[in-house]
Amino acid sequence: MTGEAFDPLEAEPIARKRLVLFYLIDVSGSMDGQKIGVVNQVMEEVIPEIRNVGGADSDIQLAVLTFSSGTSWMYPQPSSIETFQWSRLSADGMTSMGGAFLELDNKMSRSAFLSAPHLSFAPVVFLLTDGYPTDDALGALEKLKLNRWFKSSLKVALGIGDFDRDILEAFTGNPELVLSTATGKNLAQLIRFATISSSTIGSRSMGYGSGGADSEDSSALKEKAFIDMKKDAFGDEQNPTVDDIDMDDSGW
Amino acid sequence: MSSFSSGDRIPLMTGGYAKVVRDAPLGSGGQGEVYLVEYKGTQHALKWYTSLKMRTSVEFKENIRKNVYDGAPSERFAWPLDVTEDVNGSFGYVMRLLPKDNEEFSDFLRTYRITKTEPPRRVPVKFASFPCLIRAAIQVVDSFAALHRVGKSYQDLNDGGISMDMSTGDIIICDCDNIAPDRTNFGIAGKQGYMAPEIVLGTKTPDVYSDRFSLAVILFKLFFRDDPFWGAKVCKCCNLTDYNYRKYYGEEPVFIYHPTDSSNRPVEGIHDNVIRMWGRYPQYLKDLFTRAFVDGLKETSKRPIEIEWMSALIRLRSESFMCSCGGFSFVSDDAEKSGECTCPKCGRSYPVLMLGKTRLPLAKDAVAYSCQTRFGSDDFEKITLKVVENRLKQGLMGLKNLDDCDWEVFLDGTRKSVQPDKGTEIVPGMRIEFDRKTSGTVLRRN
Repeated sequence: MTGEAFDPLEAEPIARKRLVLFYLIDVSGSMDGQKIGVVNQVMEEVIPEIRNVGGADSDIQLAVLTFSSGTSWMYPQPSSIETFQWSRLSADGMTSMGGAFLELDNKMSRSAFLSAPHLSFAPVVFLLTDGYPTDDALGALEKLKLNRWFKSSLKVALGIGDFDRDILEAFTGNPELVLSTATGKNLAQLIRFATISSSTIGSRSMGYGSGGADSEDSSALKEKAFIDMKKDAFGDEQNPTVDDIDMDDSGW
Repeated sequence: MSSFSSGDRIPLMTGGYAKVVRDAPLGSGGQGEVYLVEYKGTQHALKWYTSLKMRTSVEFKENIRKNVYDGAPSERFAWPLDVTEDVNGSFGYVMRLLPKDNEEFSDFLRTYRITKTEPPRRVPVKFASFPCLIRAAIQVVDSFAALHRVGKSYQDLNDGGISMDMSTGDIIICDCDNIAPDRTNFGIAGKQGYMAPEIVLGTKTPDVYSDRFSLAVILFKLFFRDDPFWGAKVCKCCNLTDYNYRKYYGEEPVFIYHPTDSSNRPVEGIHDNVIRMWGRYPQYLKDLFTRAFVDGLKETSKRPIEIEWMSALIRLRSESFMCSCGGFSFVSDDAEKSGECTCPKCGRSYPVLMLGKTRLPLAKDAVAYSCQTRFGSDDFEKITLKVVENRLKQGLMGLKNLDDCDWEVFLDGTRKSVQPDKGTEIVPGMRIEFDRKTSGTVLRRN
C-alpha cells in the first residue's frame, strides 16, 4: 500500500549476524611475566582494529576464558567488540586445559552464549598455551568435540615455547591450524594475525568453488581460507613456527 | 609495520614519483595498506599490496595497468590512475582520495559509524533527505551501467565498496582493483550475502550477471535496510555454517517476499526495517526486486539490467514527495484516477503532471529532468522543469521552463509558447509539448 506518510530514512541498524570469537587463554604460572604482558598488550591493540571487520552485517563478540588452577570468564556473557574493554590478565597456578574445554562445551549452546533468536556465524575458537595440561584435557576434548557449535567452528591454536603439540593438533584437528613461536618473540604478530584473519574469514568472503561444505558441521571451508591467509601472510615455505629461533629467551 | 615512511618516493610506471606524505598508513587490511601520497602536485591515495598472492601475480598487476591505460568508465570510480614500479617485491597503484566527510555504505546500514577514539563513540550516519538516498541509488546504478558498457565487471560488490556523501547522495565506487574484462577473474569471489547463487555454489566465476545480482542486493539494502534472503527459514538454522550458507544463499535461497513461497518471511523483532518499509514502496520497484531475487536467481539473464533500475529509480524520484507540512509519501496508486495527489499527513492535495508513466505531484519546488522531458535524452541530472510560486501573486503556482527550448502549452483549444526561463500557471487539463516528441499533461481532478 502506497500513499501513506512514513519516514523512509528512519531505520534500525540492519540485522546482524553474530560472530563470537572465543579465546581460551592459559594463565598458568609459566605464562607470568613477558608472555602474559604481550597477550594483554596485543589484545588491547587488536580489538579496535577488528571493530569494523565484517562490515555492517556482522556483530563481532568476544568471550575470553582463562584457565590456570581453575577457569574463569572475563565477562559473564560474550560482549560486542564495539564496547569490549580488555581486562588485563595475570598468570599464576596450574594448567587446567581440560577444565577449559568442559567450560567451553557448557557455554557453546543456544541456552548459554549462543542464544536465539540471533543468527550466528560458526564461532571462532582460539587456544593459547605455553605448556602441558595438568588435568585430563584429552578426555575433556573428546566431550567438547561432540558439541555441534564446536564442530562447525574455526579452531586455531597458538603454542609458545615447549608446549603440548599433540593436544593442540587434536584440538584444531589440523596441524596447519597450530601456529607456534619458539620463544614468544613473534607472539604479538601471531595473535594479531590470527585474530584479524579469523574475524575476517568468519564474517566475510569465502573462496568460490572450494567445496568442503558437504556436511552440516564442517568447518573445512573456513579452515582452508585461514590456511590460505597464513600462507599469504607468511609465505609458503616460511612457517611461522621457526622464524624466531635465535631470539633471546631470558628474563621470563 | 608500515612499508613506507613520510618522504619516500615511489617510482611510477608512467615516469615520475608518488611521494609519501604521512608516516602511518591511512588504513590497512588483508590485502595491503593505503598511504597518503602526493601525485602530480595534489594529494592522492596509494594502495600498496602486502598480500603475497597479489603482489606476485603478474596477471593481476597487468590488469591494473590495463585499467590505468583504459581510464575510468565514469568519474564516480576511485579508478587506478597510475601503477608503481616494483619496490621490495611488491607494487601499488595511485587513486583519488575520498572526500574526508564521506561515509561508508556499511556504516549507513549500521546507522552509525564507530569512531577510532578510546572509548569508541557512535556517530549517526543518515542521508539528509530521501532525494539524497535516491541520488545515491541512481549513481550506483549509473556507475555500473558505465562499467558494464565498456565490457568490464566489478566482481566483488559489497557494503565495503561504496563511499557516500550523506548531504548530497554523491557516491564513489572504491576498491576497483578486481575490475576486469567480463569473464576474467583473479580469484575474487565476493562477500557473503552479496554473492549471486552461482558464485556461492562455485559453478561460475563472477561476471556482469553476478554483478547485477550484487547490485540488486545493494539497492535492496539501501531502501529496505535488511537482507533479501534472511528470513524465518534461515533464522531456524541458528548457526550459519558454511553448509547452511551454501544451502540458504546458494542452493535454495528464498526471497523474503517471494510471491508464492512464504517460508522465509522476515521475522518481527529482527527484520523490522523491511517489514515496515516493503509495503510502502510502489509496485514497479518491488517487481524489479522480485524478478532479481525470484526469477533471476537461477536464470541469470532475467536479472534486471541497469537501464531498468534506472527508469524505475528516476520514476521513484519523481513520485516521492514532501508536503509543505513535512509529510513524506509516494504517489498513491489512485492518483491517476482522482487527478490529484493528497498528503496523507495533512490532507492537502496537489495537481499531478503525467510524464509518460510517471506521476509528478506539483508541490512547490518539484522538478522534472531532461530525461523525462526531452526525446532521446538520458540526462538524469539536468533539471528542465520546476514548480515555482508566482512572485507577484502569492499562492499561484506555475511550471517554470528551465530548458533551452520553447514549450508549447495547449488548454481547451488554446495554445501558447513558454520560453526558457519563463513560467506558466498550472491548470488542470493543460498539455505541455516539451519538444516535438515529448509531452506531459496536468490531470483533471475528478
